[in-house]
Amino acid sequence: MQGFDAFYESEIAPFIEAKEAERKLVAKCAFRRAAPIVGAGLAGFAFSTGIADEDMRGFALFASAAVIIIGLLQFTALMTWGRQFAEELSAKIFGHFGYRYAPAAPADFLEPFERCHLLPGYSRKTLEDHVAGEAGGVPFELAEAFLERRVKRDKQDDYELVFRGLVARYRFPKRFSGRTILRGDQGLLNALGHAGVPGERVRLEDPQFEKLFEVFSSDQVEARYLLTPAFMERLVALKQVTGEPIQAAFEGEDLLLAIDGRRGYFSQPAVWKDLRGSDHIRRFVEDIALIRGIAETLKLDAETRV
Amino acid sequence: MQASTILLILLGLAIAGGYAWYVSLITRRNEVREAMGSIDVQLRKRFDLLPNIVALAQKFMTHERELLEGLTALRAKVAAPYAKDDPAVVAAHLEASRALETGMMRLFAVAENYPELRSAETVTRAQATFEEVEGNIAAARRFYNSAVTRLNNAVEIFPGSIVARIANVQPFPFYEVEDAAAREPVSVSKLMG
Repeated sequence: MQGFDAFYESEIAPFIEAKEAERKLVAKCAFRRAAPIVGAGLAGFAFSTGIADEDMRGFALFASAAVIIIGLLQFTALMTWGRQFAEELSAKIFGHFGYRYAPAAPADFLEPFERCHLLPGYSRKTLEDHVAGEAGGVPFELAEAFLERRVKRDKQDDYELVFRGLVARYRFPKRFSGRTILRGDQGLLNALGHAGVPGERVRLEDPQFEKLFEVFSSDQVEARYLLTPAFMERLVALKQVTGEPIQAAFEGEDLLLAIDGRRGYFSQPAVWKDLRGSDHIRRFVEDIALIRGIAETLKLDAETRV
Repeated sequence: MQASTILLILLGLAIAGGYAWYVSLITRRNEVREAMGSIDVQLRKRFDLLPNIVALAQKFMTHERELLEGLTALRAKVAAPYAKDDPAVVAAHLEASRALETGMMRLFAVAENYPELRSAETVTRAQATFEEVEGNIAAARRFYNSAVTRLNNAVEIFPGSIVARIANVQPFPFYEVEDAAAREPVSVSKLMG
């Protein structure tokens, strides 16, 4: 991350400083608009509790709650401003590293990951922070995915989180004829957990790798061509470096990676707080280092990429 | 429950277990055959270039007649059909393949002394093919050795040894690279200088 400190001082810090002044204005304006309405609502609420007639009291309480909500809606302007700020800041930081940034990923971005069974079943998805560029000479494209599955709780529909992390595609210089999938080892549940994964099980020589991954492929020889002893070691190292569950696949010309870190990547500061705290920028840059680290750890820039 | 019923159940279980082991053995032997086929496909890519190289080399390498004739004979031996079920025949085939690989490497090394030969298109193409298929050969060899390990374990560990004897399934030889230098990926460009 050489040169980022200088870039931060010359570009990011002044930008955040200016935006902090803007945020204060927007927040003050929103507060000015919201305060009387919320205040009126709260007063109405207090007054309502004293009404003797039950029907009237119920109506008054409902009306007061509605007024409070209308008051709070005045803060949407601040939220919208916060989103725009986050997009501008992301574009600036990613731009510094030569990456292209878009707030949302293409709708079909998850298709190859689903084809390769790298993601759990889900009912709804959110794709954010689409980043594309070259890391160590290797073209890549990634997005942050938030996947939820519909479940029944107390006879009501609810959603539970099944994946929250990065989905990334790194381009290889050659095309694979088969499809090789690396799934996280699930111990005794392997037989059940990997049901439906296409291809035959590939048994590899590295015991440490075998502990972490289960490999399936439509081509036993190609799977071993890709997963050389050196590349297996690099995958083990990557898993140890990130400390997060990783699944991968080789398909077409791409290495697909799904990292279910159960956390937000490229996080942005909250609009309620002072923007000048640099902690979120540090975390942001650490996440960018992860993108580069993957390419470097896996040595994807090597001539053969294996 | 009568003793005869228990005996029948035990006998039934033994037969079912034996059959399951038999199925597993045959499946593993077929895996070895498949893996052997993969090795042959990859080696053929290398060896198919040999006739052209030898034809060209004969013009320049008059003092290496013995090496060239040996390679031609080895290629004919490797290309000949062989019984993939017979471990002894497979071992001989693998040995011949190994010898041919070593011979080809020696040919490239000797060719260094003949600049006209070294720069010929046929040899340059062979050099590229050699490097291209090296990774695939290593992968095919790993696939074969993995399949052989699974088969040999099933054949040699009791009670598999009994079932294997009845089914006439034998352990297969590994395809190993013998000397340390040959374990390194072949870099023909290095050999060719």
